[in-house]
Amino acid sequence: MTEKEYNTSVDLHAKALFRFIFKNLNVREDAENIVQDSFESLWLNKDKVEFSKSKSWLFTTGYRKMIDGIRKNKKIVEMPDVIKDKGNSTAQPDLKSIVNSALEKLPEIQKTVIMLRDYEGYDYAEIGKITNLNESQVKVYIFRARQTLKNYLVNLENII
Amino acid sequence: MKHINDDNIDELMFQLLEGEITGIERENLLQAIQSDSKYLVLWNAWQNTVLQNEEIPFNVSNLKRKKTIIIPLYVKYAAAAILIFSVIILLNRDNLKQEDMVLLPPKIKTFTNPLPQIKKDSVYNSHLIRDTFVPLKEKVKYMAEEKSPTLESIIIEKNETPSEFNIVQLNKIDSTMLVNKTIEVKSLIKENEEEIFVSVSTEDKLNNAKDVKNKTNFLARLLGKSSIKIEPDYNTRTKRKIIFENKKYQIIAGF
Repeated sequence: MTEKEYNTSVDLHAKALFRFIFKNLNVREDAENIVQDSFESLWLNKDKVEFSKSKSWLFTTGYRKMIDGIRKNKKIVEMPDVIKDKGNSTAQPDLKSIVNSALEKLPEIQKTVIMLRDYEGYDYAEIGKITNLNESQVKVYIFRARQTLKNYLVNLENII
Repeated sequence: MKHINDDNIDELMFQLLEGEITGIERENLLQAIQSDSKYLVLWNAWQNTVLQNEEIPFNVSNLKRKKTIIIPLYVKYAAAAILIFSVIILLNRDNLKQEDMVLLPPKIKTFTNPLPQIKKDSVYNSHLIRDTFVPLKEKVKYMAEEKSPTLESIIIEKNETPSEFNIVQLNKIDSTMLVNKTIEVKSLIKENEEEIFVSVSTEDKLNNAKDVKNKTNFLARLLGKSSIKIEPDYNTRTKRKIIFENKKYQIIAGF
């Protein structure tokens, strides 16, 4: 990978990687550090990594660094619960906020795979490579994640 | 086609959402969902599980690599050598210009209104000639103000009209005389029977002219008539040294 290709990778993938990490960690500073480390690692391995595979490489590296960070620091911060606040507020929360709130309640691996699927458009095989799972496992995790979200939304609709 | 029921509804909707059911099967399934309001609510909920794209501000400029230009070591030496040579050539050119300078005799100033050709038979007849003739006082005044030496001294005796005999060319001075001697050019002019003496000294100008020849600047003396040699020197990287020298100075450059 050349310097120009590396800079193109930054343009193309940095924001997506940051969103992926930040949505998982909910701590901006940590997410920025992980993105920084991931790109630093990409630069150091620029001779080994092809430009076409840089996105997958970045997400794999970022995901692993994130898991390492979570295991070391346990810094996951709970997002404000929209549902709990709903009773006190006259304004209706929008669908995006509700889904985000539900997303926070998912187990870490389910959250990761569904974000890779929906935000980045990866197929099961690619998600498996990043998360070190096989395709069946990925599919099961995605199914469970969606089912949990669906139940959350249906229950919310019943309450409303 | 699979028949939709409460047991397989989640599985079928998930497959539908993930694009695993396509074609006619997909159309039939969608029709079945539309026909049942309970399934329709569930299908809407499933569709809402797809995360919508979300932009989170993040500055990527810090991650980019700045362009670095690596200049090989030899390029620096080459640039330094070119610079030195350019300076020397420029100085030598300047020096040559000074050496080639030749002392020219002072330029003879001429009046803008030249003296008319005076013919014997036209002296007394032509009033026009008299009119165009530069008045003597003006001529003398001009010469005195300019302080410029003229090689011709004119003595005109005041007569009614100028004649070819009252214009006397005293001498024509050789340029070597100008260098070696101080010349005083005197013009004797008689007007109304009073004598007017005009004296123009060329001494200062001639001395200055001599000084120009001897005057050379320090750099010209330093680098004048210099020669450039390249000799082997095994203490340098290139195993060569460049020597610039003249009678007084020697500059040695090694890379």
